[in-house]
Amino acid sequence: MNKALLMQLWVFVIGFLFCNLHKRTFDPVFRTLTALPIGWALFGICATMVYGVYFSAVSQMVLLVVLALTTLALLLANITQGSLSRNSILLGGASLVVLTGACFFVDLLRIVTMTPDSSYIARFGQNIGLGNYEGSRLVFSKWGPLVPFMHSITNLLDQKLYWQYQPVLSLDLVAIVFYTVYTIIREQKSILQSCVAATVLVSLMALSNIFVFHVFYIHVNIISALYMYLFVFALVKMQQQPGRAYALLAQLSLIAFSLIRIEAPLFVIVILLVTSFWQGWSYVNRLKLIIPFIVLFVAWYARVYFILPEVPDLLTKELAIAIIAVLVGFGLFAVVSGLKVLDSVVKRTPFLTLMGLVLVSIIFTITKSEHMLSSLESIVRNILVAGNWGLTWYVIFFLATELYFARRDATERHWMFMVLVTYILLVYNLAYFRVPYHLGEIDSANRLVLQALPLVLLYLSLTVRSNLKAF
Amino acid sequence: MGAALTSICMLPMPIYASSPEEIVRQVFMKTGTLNLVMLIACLISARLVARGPSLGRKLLLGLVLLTFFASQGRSVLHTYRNTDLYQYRKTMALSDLQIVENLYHSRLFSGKNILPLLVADYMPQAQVFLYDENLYPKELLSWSGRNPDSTFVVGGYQSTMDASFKVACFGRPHIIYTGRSRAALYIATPFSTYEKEEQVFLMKDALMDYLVPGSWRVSQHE
Repeated sequence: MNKALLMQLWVFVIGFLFCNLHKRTFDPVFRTLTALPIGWALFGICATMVYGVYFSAVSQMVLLVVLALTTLALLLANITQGSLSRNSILLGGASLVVLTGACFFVDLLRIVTMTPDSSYIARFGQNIGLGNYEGSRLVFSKWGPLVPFMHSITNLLDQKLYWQYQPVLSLDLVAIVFYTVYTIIREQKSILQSCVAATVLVSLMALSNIFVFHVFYIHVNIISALYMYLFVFALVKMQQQPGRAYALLAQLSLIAFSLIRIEAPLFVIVILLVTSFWQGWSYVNRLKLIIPFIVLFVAWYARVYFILPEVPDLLTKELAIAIIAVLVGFGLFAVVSGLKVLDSVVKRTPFLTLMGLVLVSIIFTITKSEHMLSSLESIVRNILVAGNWGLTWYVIFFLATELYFARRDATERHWMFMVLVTYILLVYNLAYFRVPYHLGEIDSANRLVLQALPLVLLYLSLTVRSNLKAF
Repeated sequence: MGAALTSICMLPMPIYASSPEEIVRQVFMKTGTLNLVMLIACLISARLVARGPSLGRKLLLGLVLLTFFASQGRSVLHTYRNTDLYQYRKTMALSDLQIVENLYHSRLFSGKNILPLLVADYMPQAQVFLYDENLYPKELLSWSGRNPDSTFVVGGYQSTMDASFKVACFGRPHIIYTGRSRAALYIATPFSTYEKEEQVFLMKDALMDYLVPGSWRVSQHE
C-alpha cells in the first residue's frame, strides 16, 4: 500500500503544481479536484514519449527521471511566477492529507471487479514496465497506452496488481462532476438550490449499478469518462473565461482521453468539429488546441504501426494508417479553416458534421442492415432494460422532457446537445467496423454510453441553471 | 430532434425481439413494475399539471426522485448482498482473481493457459519444465513477463504422473482449474507454494495436466 500511496501522491503533486500555475482562473477546490487526473495525464504523455522513443527495461527508469524533471520544472515555474504562496502550500498540504485518507479508505475496502479485459490490460501493462516488448505489444492493438502504462509501474510498488488508482479516480470523477455542476448552477441560483440540484444530478450517475461496478472495475471507461468530461467542461469554460488556463486543461484532457481507447481520437475530432468551429472561436486558438494533438497522435500511431504484433486484435496496421489519414485530414482542415474562401463551409462545420454522421449511419444501416440494426437494438435495450442502469435513463428522460418544455436559449447548451447527439451517432457508426453490439452491461456500446453520462449531467446542469423555476 | 432520435432508436425493437409483448414484459421485469408505472404516471401528470412553480410540480418531482432513490438503492444493496462483486478480496493478484476469486474467466488465460499469470505472480525465480515444445505458443509464454527462453525448459524429465504420486498430489491442497478452456490444470494451493521453488514441472496423465512444485517430486523420489 505504501508505495502505491506514494505514487498517487507524487502524481497528485505533479497535477497540483500544474493547476497552481493557473490559480487566478482555477478556484482552490477545482485545483485540488483536477490535480490527480492532470497528474496522470502528464504521466501518460511522458510515458508515451519515453516508450515511443525507446522500449526496453531501462525505459521505466527513464520515465521516472522524466517525471522527476517534470515535477522540478513545475515547481520552479511556480516559484518564478510567484504562484507558490502560503495559501497554495496549505491547500496542497491539506489536499495531500485528504487524498491519503481516500487512498487508505480504498485500501481498506479491497474491492476490485474484473473481466477478461482487465486481465489483459493489467498483465500486458505489467510487462511494459518489465521492458518485455514481445509480452506487451498485443495491448496496443486493444486499447490506448495510458491505462497499461499505469499498470506498468506495478513492479515498483511491491504489489502483484495495481488496483488502487481505479477507485480513487472514480471517486475523483464523482467529486469533479458534483463540483462543476454545482458551480454552473450556482452562477444563477442559491447555495441550497445548487447543492440540491447537483446532488440529484450526480445521484443519477452514482446510484446506478453499472456505475458502482465501474468504480472498482479495472478497465478504461471511467478514466475515459473523466477526461472526456474535463475536456468538454474546459471547452464550455473557454468561451466564458478566455485565457491559457482552460485551453491547457482542454488540451491535456483531450490528449489523455485519446491515449485511453483506440477510437478515442475520432471522438475528439467530432467533438472539436462541433465545438471549436463556432464563430466565437479564433483561428489561432483553434490551431493551438488542434495542432499539438494531431502531431502527437500521428507520431504515436506511426510508432504503433511498427509495434503491432503479426496477429493484432482490434487495431490492425491498415486501421492504424486509416487513423493517421483521418488525423492528418482533420489537421489540414483546421489549418485551411482560416482561408476566407472556406468561410461559409467552416461556419457550418458543426451542422455539416452532424449531417455527415447521420448520412453515414443511414448508409451503414442500408449496406449492413441486420448487423447495424441489431447493434442499435442492443444499444437501446441496454439503456432501458439490460444494461444494469435501473431507472437512471428513465429519470433522465423525465427531467430532460420537463426541462425541454421550460427551456430558455443558451449557446453552450446548443452545442452541448450537438456533442451528445454526434457522440451517440459515432458510437452507432463504429458498430459497422466490429462485431455487433450485444445485450448486457459489459457491452462496448453500453460502456461508451456510460462514458457520456457525465456529459449528459453537464448538459442538464446548463439547462437546470436557467429553468429551475419549472419545478 | 430528440423525439426523432428516440423514434429511430425504438424502430428496430419490434423487428428483432420475439414480440412487442416480450419487450414490454422484459422492461417491466427488469425495472420493477411499480417503479415504472409510477415514472410513466409522473411523466404524463407533469404534462397535465400547470407549468411554472407549484406545489403539484414539487410533489411530482419528489415522487420521481423518491422512486429513483428507493429503486436504485435497493438494486445496489441487492448486488452487494447477493453477489461477490463488491466483497473484500484477500489476495490482489491476477492469478488469484482469475482462479480462486473466480470473477470472470478470460479467454486467453483459461485452463492450462493460466500458466503465464501464475509464473508472473508466483514464480519469480523458478524454471518451468514443459513436456512438449508445442504445448504453448512462444508469445503466450512471453506474457509471463519473464524471458521465455531462460524460464521455460522443454523435456528432460519424466512427465507422466504415476499412480502413487497422483494420490500424493490429490492428498495435498489443490485446485483444478478449467475456466473457459477444456484443458484442465491441477494447481497446488495456496499459490504461494510455488514462490520458493527453483523448479516447477508440468506433468500429465490421460485427464489433465499437473503443475507440480519441484520439491514435491524430489521428496517423492526420495
